[in-house]
Amino acid sequence: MNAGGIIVVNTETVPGKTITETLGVVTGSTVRAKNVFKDIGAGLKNVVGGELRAYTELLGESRDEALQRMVAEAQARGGNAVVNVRFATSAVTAGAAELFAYGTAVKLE
Amino acid sequence: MAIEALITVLAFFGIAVVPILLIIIAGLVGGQIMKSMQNKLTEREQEIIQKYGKDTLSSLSMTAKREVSETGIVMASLVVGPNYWQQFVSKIQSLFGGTLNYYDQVIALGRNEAMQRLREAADTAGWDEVVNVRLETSKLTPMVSNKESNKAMELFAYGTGIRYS
Repeated sequence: MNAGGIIVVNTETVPGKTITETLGVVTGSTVRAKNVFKDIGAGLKNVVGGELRAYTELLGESRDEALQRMVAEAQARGGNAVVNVRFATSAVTAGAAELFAYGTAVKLE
Repeated sequence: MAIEALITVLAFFGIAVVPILLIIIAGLVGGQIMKSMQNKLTEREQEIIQKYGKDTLSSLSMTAKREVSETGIVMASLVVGPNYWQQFVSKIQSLFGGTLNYYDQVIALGRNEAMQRLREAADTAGWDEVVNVRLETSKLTPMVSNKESNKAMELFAYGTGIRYS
């Protein structure tokens, strides 16, 4: 994903490019709760097993948002790439999850 | 008296009969669902291997020493849960300890599916290869924390897509 011209990678360097300056750690996170109705739907699907699509979509969207926030912070710092991106998920409270993305904002030549 | 009797019957039905019925239904249908997931997955894996001639994922930070023209992040995930029958059997197995075969199968299938989705996402975005692939597993908490509700886990795969010039 090249969000707004910003290169996002989870490798330590951007292959084929040179890093001229590092601008510190940038983070982005969202806390999302499940929808009760979707929870009931997923509960029914849980009887027979398999993929719980409602949750897949929810977490996917949340993670995209976390990444967008991280990218926005990198942009605000004047970086044009984020390297070594990592993701973390933690259960904050019952029925809610925090999706968290962090990386190092850098300037490429 | 009649109402009390009715309540007793309904309560018995709710507590004893419905869960057992659901477990039996899950046992009959669930295996079929997993089998069809596995079959579709194998087919899609073959498609990618035929198209690129190899597995496009790699957990190394760089693979070939070739000129790279473009890079970007790729992500894929899915949430899976064991069915009631698998949960029931696993609960009994966990009394004695040892391997929980069903959880093994469900997680392995889910992880393979997540990796295949990563391959497909990379294919759609036009990346030649995905390097530095990382895999993560996380548990989803139930809505009501003290209740044995949905058993679900998220399997997440991400990496850096690269395009050779």
